[in-house]
Parts: sequence; C-alpha cells; structure tokens
Amino acid sequence: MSSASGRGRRFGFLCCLLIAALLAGVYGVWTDVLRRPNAVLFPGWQKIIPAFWTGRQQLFSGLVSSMKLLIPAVAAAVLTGVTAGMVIGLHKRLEAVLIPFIRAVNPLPSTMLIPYAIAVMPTFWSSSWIIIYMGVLWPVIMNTLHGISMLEPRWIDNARCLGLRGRRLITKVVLPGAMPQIFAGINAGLIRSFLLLTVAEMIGAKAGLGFFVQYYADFAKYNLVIAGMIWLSLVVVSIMTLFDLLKKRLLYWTQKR
Amino acid sequence: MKKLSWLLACAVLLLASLPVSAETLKLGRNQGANQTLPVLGINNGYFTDQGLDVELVTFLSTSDGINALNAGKIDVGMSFGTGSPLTFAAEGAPIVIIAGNLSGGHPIITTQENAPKFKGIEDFRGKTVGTPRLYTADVVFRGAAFKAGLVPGKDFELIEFKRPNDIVEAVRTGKIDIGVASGAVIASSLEAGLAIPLWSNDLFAYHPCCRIITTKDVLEKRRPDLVKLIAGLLRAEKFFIDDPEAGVQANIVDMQVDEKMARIMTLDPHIQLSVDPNTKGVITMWEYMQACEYIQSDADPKSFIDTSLYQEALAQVKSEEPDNPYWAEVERRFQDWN
Amino acid sequence: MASGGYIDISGVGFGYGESQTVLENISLAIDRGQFAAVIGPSGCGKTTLLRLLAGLVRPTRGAVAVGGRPVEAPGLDRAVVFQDYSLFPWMTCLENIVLALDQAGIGRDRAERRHVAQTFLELVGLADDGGKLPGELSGGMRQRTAIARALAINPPILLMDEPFGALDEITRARQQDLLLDLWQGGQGGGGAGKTVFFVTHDVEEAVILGDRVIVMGTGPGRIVRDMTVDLPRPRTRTSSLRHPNFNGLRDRLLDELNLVVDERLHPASEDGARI
Repeated sequence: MSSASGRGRRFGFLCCLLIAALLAGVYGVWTDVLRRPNAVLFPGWQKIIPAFWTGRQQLFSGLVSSMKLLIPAVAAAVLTGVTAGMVIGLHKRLEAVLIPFIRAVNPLPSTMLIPYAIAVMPTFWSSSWIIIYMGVLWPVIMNTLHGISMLEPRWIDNARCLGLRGRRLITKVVLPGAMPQIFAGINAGLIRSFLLLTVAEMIGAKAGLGFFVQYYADFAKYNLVIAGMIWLSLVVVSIMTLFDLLKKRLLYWTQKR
Repeated sequence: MKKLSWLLACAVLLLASLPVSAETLKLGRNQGANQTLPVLGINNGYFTDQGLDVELVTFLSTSDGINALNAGKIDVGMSFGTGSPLTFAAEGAPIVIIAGNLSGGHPIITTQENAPKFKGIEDFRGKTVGTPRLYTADVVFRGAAFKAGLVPGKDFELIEFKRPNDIVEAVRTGKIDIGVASGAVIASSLEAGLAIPLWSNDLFAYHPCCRIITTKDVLEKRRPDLVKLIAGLLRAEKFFIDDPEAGVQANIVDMQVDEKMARIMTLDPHIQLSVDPNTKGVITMWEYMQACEYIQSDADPKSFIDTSLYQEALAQVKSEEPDNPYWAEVERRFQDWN
Repeated sequence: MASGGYIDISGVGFGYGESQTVLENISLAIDRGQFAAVIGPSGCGKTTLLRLLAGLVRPTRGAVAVGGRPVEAPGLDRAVVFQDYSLFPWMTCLENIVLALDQAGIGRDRAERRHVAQTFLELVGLADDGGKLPGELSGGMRQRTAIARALAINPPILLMDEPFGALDEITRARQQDLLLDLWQGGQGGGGAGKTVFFVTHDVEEAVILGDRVIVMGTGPGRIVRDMTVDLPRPRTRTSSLRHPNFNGLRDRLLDELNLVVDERLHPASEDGARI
C-alpha cells in the first residue's frame, strides 16, 4: 500500500515537472525564439538563467534573511493566535464582544500598516516582524474560533462525563478536536505570510526574498526579478509541502473517521 | 423589461470600455507628485485649444507607470522621476526624454532639534540616513555624497526605503537621523512637526526631477501631438509665473490638500516648475547613477534624450507672442542647460 | 413505581422555555443491579432522560438522585456509552481507556493504567487493536471499546444510549451477547452487578437484555408502561429468543408502542434534546 501511494506521489511529481517544463518551453519560444513581447518586462531564458548565477549569493542570503523574519513571526502568531482563540472561543460572551473587532482588523491592507508599524515598534526588523505577525494572527484566531464552534457536542458531553475540566479539557479534547480548523488557519496564515514578505521587506531591509524581487523591479532588471520569483515559488512550494506532511502526521485521525 | 435593462447595462459597459477618441493623449502620473503645469494646462484649455485631448492616468508606483508606457497603455509619462526612466532605458526599454516637468523640490527632513546640525553634505557624516531607493532625491543625495567622498556604510549609515511616506515615520520616531524624502511628503512631514533643513536642490542646483518621457513608438506616430503637449505646458509655465495664485487654487483641487499646504507645495522656491528637458542635468544624473552602481551600462545617455520637440514647441509659442521677454529668457535657459 | 430505588427519578420535567416541553412528570425507580431497558418512539425524550441521569442537563422540575444523592453534574460513578462518538477519534483505543482511567484515579502510573486498559480490551476481544485509532475500527469494534472503557473505570451505573443502534444485524446480535455475558459476570466478572440504564428503539433488544422494559410515549415525553421481563437469568440472546414467553412479551411491547404512535396527537418534536 505504501509503495502504491509512493508510486502515485512520484507520478504526481513527474507530472508537475512536465507541466513546468511545458510552460517554460512555451515562454522560451515566445521570448527567446519569436521575440514577441517587450523585452524589458519579459526577458528570455537566456537572460533569466544567468540571473540565477549572478544573483545566487543574494538569493541565498535573501532566503536566510526572510526565514529569520518569517519563522519567528509565524511561530509567534500561531502560538498567540491559538492561545487567544482558545481563550476567546471558550468564553462565549467574550467571543460575542470581540468577533466584530477581529473581523474588522483582519482585512486591513498591510501596506497601510507600515507607518504605524514603524512608529510603534522599536526597530525596523521588529516593524517588519509585526507586519507578518499581524497578517498571520487573524486567520489563525478566526480559524481557532471556528474550530471550537465546530467541535462535536458529543465530544464535549463525553469529556464532561469523564470529568475533564480546565487545562486537561483543553489539551485533551478542545485543542485536538479543533486542530483540523487550526491547521486550516495556519495554512491560510502561511500563504499570507509569503505575500506579506514583500510588504514587510519594504521597511529598511537589506536582504530578503521579497526585497530581492522588489529591488530589481525598481531597477527594471526583470530577468533577476523573474529568477527571484521562481526561487520564491520554489521556497513556498517546499515549505507548503513540508507543512502538508506535518499536517498529515498530526491530523492522521481525520483521514480515518 | 428586465432583459432590456440588462442589454442596456451591457451596452453601457461596452461603450465605456471602448477608447473615447484616438486623439486623446494618455498622460501617466505618479500619485502625489506635483502636477501644477499639466493641471493648469488642462484648466486653461491650452491643450484643447490646439485640438489635443489629454487624460491623466494615476499610478501608485513609478515602475508600474513606466511598464504601462512600455506596453503602450499610456502615451506619455509625466512624473516618473529621472532615475527610473534612465534605468529602464539602460535595460533597453525604448524610452525617450522629450521635456521636463519639475526640477528640484525634494525635502530632506529631520526633527526640529536636529535641523540646525544639517547645513550641507558634510553634516551627514556619522549619521543614519534614510533614502527612497531610486527616487530622484535618492540619486541626487548619493551623487552628492559620492562627490564629497562620503561612502555609505563607512562614513554614514544608509537605510533604503521602498516608499518615501515610510521615511517620515522613521524620522519622527528617531529610527533614522535624517531622511532624504520626496516632494510627495512635504505636507505630511510638516504636519508631523518635522523640519526641512535642506532641499535636494541644495545638493544639486536645478537638478532634473520629473522628466516627460515617451516611447520611440509614440514619438514616431504622434509627434505633432507631443509637440502640442509641450507647447501647452510652456504656456502653463508662463501663466504660473504670472499668476502663481492660480497654481495654488488648482492644486487645492488636484492634490486635495488645504490651502496652507497647497501654498507651500506650490510656491516654495525649491520647487521649480520648468518644461526644459535639461540634457546636462540628466547626464549628470546618469553619471551619479553609474557612480553608485545603479546603472551598469556604457550607453550614451544622450541617445535617450530628444530635445527637438521641445525646441519646436518653444518656437511655436514664441511665434505667437514674439515680443514677450519671457520666451527669450526660456530660450537662454535652454542654451545653458542643454 | 415506588420511590426509593438506587436510581430515583421523581416528578421530573424538562423543557426549553415555556413552549417546548420534552419530558413531563417522570417518576421512575431502578434498583441496584437492575438492567432497565427504555424504549419509545423518536421524540419521546428517552435520550433526554439519559442525559438527565448523566448530569449533562438539569431537570426544569423534579429531582434526579443516585444512591440517595442528587445528580448535579456528570460523574465517574455513571459511565456513559453513546451511540457513537464515545471515543475521541484522535486517540488510540488504548489511550481513550487510559484517559478514562486517569480521570477515575485508577492505576498508580501510566504503565499500570495501560496494563489495566489492555485487560479490558482483551475482555471485549480486542487484545490486538489497542494501538488503532477509533476510525480504523468497525462500528462494532468501536462500541466494544466504548464498553471496555465504561467497565474499566468500574462505575456502579452504566448509561447506554442506543449503543448498538448504528450496527448491522449480525454485529448487533454479537454485541448483545457480549453485553449480556459481561453484565452477568462472565469474562472474569468485570461487568457484574452494574445498574444499567439502556436506551434502545429495538423491541427485541429490550426484551433480550432487560430485567424490565420502560415504554415511553410522546407529546410530551412520559412513561406509559413499565413491564417486567420474566425470562430466566443467565441469558444469552438465543436462549431469550427461544424462550416460550419471548414472543408474548415482544408482541405486548409492540402493541404498546403502536398505541403510543397512534395516540400521537401533536407532531413529533425533534428526537430528544441534543443541543
């Protein structure tokens, strides 16, 4: 069974590569061979591929720099978001009061928050950090609340019959029961964090994946921009794949219900 | 009845999406940039006089605007600075500078208490300086620092920003000592209680800012319209010299600021409104950009500049009022700057 | 229906606000060690009655007491087996039982609790399945695990809410035999002597298992009949089915239920009080 699913996964991976190669080929014919589009915005592969080499150092230091920003911000947002979600979700009156606020703050455009982030936070790094933190926090809280509200009433009955209360009730029943939704929230938050990376790295950054792309876009070096975007996409795909593996492990039980 | 209203709605949408007239010249502008001359030109009918319809299209970022120009979505760029057009041109985009719109006018901002410390480029030594990457003021400042032998990272700390607005907040909260900002944030800097001890002009007198740019394609196909545009702008320039108050009133409406701010942003002597292409200034900017490694190109910057349309337009407006001394002065300026 | 039983329900009413009365004036006494089967059409409030006994909901009128003490909250002296959902799907079967043991304070440490849990899994014939998630088991195996958990904490009272309701015919028959065997002291006596409150909608099941069958009616929920099942113990499912009295008992119960359904004047309220 495992070998069968392994074969399936390998087949899927090959298909992905094939589609990517096909798209790259079409783009190559369009730009390198036919030379149809405007050459600044759509550089051909003969310009993009060397850009990976010339930009290699910055691409790697950018990855490191972005991860140093992303990981603490996402981790803090997940920890505080789940905790806050638990506290709010288990106090229905508090939830009724706070939900409108959470809904109101959630869709605020992050670019608008930059001056506030600079004003409130002590350093540029922490200003960038809070932009990502805030962006990830709200979907995590909202989904944690959703997860709690979607808990099977029978699980709660069951827990009460076993005399589970307080912290044990939360760690043994509420948290694992809400975990599928919490993961959906983290998933949404992660995707958002990558979008926000470009916004966060507008503030006094000297390196970063988002910075790299924006920097060279300013200088109209779109071969480096496209190389940066491909690199960013590869990083995103890798992280999301790892996240899916983690989810599969932790939420193994949801596939067996 | 319902069907009819649907059809009607579709028809309206369809009509709205059609180009109004092939004659309309689409002028791209950057959000917040000073547009006194084109706005006065429109208000006073200097373009329609000549049978030219213009439309202002606003962009949030310079790169978006220049890419739209390259893609043929707009015909002319009015306020995309000098630095960005030059980088695009260096990368091979068919961009041509045909005239100017604004010179100088970028504030260098700091707190009231620090303001007396800044009198010239030497005073930046040992300071933390914020600049908006590739904005005109950024290039002017880096060039001036280079000429003065100041090396970023060694003689002073340089922090780059994507947006000038963010520099205001960084200065106000003391995260940087001084910010090289842009004309778009004059009002917000003063409202935040900051001081402007220096202007970009103090580092590079009459430095070109917003150049009027187009593409080789548009230049070929709509040359007469471009000349009409420049002629209208020249008349607006003269009108503004004679009646600056009209410029203030126009900017109250256009920039949606109160009268006090509009007055500062229109009348401050550092904000120099002139349509001259300023070839020499552009070449200096090019050299500055090479010096700070913004550009790695050995192209001749003159190949991106075409002053013939400006000369044609100037000759035209002068022929209409041959005795007006202002046009002679403008002609002298052209001799000096080009 | 004299008061003073081990489980003592006296004059209990339950409803939501003024408009919706689910149970009205229920009085019922169940002796220690008795197996009481409760049967009735859907909407008669039999599940609500079980939830009242479990302490999951409080009566709006009257009182519920167990062993002389009023029921105010759920307690480990009353183990509940629900139709499904008795187990937490994110824990293995063994962990589910260990959690219950932990709550009940049985076993000195985790290793001992695991050992106890394993013996109870063996009791219900799931010696090799403790490491599996509930979702990996069949419905019958899940209910056996739930029964193992209920017995493991050794409560004097078992409350069972249609525990075999979702199972197929053959599995249900096996579960009934297993439950009978355990309750009658088989397999080492882990289930002997328990007072059982067993809710079902299956007439045959009620007769096979119960010492008595309480028939409930609707509109609002009330007890319409309390019948003693005079089949000899120890029983098995087959011995009950073959007993000469079985058919008579079953037919009388069916008649009662038919009467209840015919009498239903008001449209049925939704089944029970599952909020």
